[in-house]
Amino acid sequence: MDNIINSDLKDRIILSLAQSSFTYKLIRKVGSYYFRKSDSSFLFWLNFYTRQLEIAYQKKKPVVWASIFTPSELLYALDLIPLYPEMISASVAALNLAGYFIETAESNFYSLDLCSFYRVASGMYLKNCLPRPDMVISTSLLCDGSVKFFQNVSRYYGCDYYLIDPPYERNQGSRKYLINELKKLVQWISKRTNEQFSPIKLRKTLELANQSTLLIKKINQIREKVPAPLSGWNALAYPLYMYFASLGSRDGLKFYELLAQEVKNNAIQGIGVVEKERIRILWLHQLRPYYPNIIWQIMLDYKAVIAFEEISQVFWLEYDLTQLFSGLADKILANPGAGTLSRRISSIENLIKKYKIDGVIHFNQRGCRQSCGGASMIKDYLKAKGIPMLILDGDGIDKRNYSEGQIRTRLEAFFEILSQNR
Amino acid sequence: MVVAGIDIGAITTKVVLMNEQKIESYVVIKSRVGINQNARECFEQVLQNSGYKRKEVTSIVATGYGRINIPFAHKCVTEITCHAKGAHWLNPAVRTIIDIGGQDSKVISISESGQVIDFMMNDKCAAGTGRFLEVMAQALEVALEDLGELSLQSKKKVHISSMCTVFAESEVISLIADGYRKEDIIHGLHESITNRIYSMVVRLPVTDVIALTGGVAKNKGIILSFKKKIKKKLYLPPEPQIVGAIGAALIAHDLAK
Repeated sequence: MDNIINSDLKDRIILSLAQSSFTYKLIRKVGSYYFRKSDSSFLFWLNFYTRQLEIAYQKKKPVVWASIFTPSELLYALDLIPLYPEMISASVAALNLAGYFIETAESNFYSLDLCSFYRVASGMYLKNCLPRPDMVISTSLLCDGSVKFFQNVSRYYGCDYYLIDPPYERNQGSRKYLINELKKLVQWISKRTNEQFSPIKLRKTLELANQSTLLIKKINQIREKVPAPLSGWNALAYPLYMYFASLGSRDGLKFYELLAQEVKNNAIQGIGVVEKERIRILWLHQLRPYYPNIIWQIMLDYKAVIAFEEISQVFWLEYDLTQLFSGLADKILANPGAGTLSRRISSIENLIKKYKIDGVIHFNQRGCRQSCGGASMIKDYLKAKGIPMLILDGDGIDKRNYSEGQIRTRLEAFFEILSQNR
Repeated sequence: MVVAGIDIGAITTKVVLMNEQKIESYVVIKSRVGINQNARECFEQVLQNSGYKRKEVTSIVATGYGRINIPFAHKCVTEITCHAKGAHWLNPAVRTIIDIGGQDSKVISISESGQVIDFMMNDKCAAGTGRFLEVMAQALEVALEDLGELSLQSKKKVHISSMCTVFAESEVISLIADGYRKEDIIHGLHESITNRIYSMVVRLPVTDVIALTGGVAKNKGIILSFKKKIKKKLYLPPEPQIVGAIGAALIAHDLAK
């Protein structure tokens, strides 16, 4: 495109497309037709995603930019439209457009060392390609890069920022502190929207989240079956978006009803996502490369499937509808990726048994230091238990950090080890 | 049963022809742009040298970074598995392989039966690879094959701090400008590569017999540097560049059985 269209014209085209709510309406209509043969859950997600962006542009509701671990239940209870820049970056990469925004961010002094998910999002707001936020909320949970990114967003747009900063330890003191922080957050939002907080609305969103969570649990249980009825490679795409962005909404519940039905149908019919499945993989870390790449094709060649992925676990308990904030605080504190590494290892071990895993792949997204930092220790632990693990260095968004030959050799060698072990 | 193993590396292409697990002939040539044509020429050459005809070769396995581009191969296997197979065949006591190739370096841990247990590879940069040494040889204006001998004449320790090939090149140029002897600089470069790869070696179990393979294993300076660092028995194959191709030929033999 660079050769055909000069950069000014390219800027104008991208800007005029991205800034119009009509674009998202059009994507929804065209997408629904183009993907008409796709799974209903995918079409539902497409509708949900584009509608959220459309509403955000139309300013029908206050827009909040939130990090993926911010409790969406609270945001829906306060009638906000949440946008998740990290997830938007992934979809931009899937459309092969990330490079344009990365270049924009880097030419504005955003370092190459900054996580590529945030570099794309930074490029997008610098080009004014995202709906303007009325407020910004993030957590420091798992992702250390998110704090500075969201702080920067608030400064750029001149809107307020609230940080949920969960304590490292999981104990009563942490719980009490976090409950108080969430209560303060509700007051903070109410003050900015001039809308009174309604405990009834929060109870309703928690109830919806409980119903969605039950369905996720059901899906996860069906996924224990061999052959795998749902591809983990796909689960790390649009279902992951819904996992972070939809809990507490009616749309979320509808989505999980559709997904559960699809997974159930596949399991009943014995349809595996990979024909003659031979190798079952557990995928660690919450991401995968979202730009076009060869990983899935190599997996198919070796009859390997991501039977489950660490991020899709339900690690929290059903929300107690009489204690509105305690369940949300407990969920944040219960995240196995937070706190000591032994918590994460213990949950991984459990998943290996449950999903009859042959080998583990830890995708080391370059920007995720908190996760990559523990990869070698997890590998050592699993090695002692006789479970092979591959640490696959890569980048979820920035294609410049992707080398097909290197990825191929590492993956194929790993699958050769797993094949010889069988 | 005549079989062939083809290893298409970033810098060299290697073909080994075996008959009943005995090496009949091998050829090593510089890799050029057309991978398939390159492999074909190398294969024809090995046939010519051995006197066998194309139709007598019952099975061909390709390995190396260009393995997927060889349409006349019956199977592609990674260089990691092939090196394990080749090194184990050459010396069954080997449990660790350090392979320093043109484009990457890897450490492979193998079992008693020659199966891969685990492996480590360098991240995607040229530091610690044959390409690193090629660039440095150019900067120093010496032939690549002379690096080993020259480093043995080193008298003074020179520390190369840059790991990045581009930065290391300018560091080398600065050292020359500062009057350091080439021999000392080369020795420093060898130590730099050794230290970088050693950090991968210790991530896997450090075993008693370690094989050093790949084109860089022909460099006497590197060998000495590894001997000092590892303090274990270092096994040097008679022709370290063809270990992957031997492994590929052995797998071809198993396939044809």
